Amino acid sequence: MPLTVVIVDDDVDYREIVRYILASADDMLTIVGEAADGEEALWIALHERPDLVITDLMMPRLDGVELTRRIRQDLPLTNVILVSSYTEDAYRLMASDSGADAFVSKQVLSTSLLPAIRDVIRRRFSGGSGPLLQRERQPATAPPPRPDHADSRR
Amino acid sequence: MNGAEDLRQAVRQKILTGDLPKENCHMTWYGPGTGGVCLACQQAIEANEVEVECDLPGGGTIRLHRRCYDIWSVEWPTCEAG
Repeated sequence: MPLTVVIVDDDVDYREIVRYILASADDMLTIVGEAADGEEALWIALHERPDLVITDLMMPRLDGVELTRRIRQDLPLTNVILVSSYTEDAYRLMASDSGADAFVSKQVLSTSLLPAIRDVIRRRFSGGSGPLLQRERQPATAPPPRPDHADSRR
Repeated sequence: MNGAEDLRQAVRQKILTGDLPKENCHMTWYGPGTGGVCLACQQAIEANEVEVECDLPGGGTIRLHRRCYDIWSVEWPTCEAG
């Protein structure tokens, strides 16, 4: 069963780049939603309960760090990979404190996103009894009202 | 360092001697190299290479080439305590 993924970035071009990168691993990953800000992403995540969220750091409404904290709180089995052009130590510290599993510089996105995903998946499964997916382990909770601009795609 | 097998053996040796840790990262960072030294192969990580920084759960960070990180992350769970 492929892992489910939500892609989050306010830059539509970067969402397309991530989609393109993930397409080469479509036997392993299925995109279940896209969002242009953290608020929209959180709604989709609570609705879809994806295995993985790949999110930009700097976004309107709710940034990637706060989105990660909220996902950690509400969906503890969902992994989060932050991506950003902002890679100074302060951002990396915020990313680590937020509970993100990985932080990938957009400078190396094309060569490092899939290895980062594979590593996060390996770490996720290495401590447990096998590949248990978010949607199999955690009962659905009622998501908050959907933002008007939310765009969940299958 | 010549060859993938030599590198794998060197990484295993560092794990067994405790020079490389035996635990999952709290968070990993993927970015362009900045000239720092890889803890696994002791070579500089150049700007045209990808470096991985692994934040350890108990604090501290190790820096490796991505290829060295990939080897370490596969090998450490198979290494007996040394």
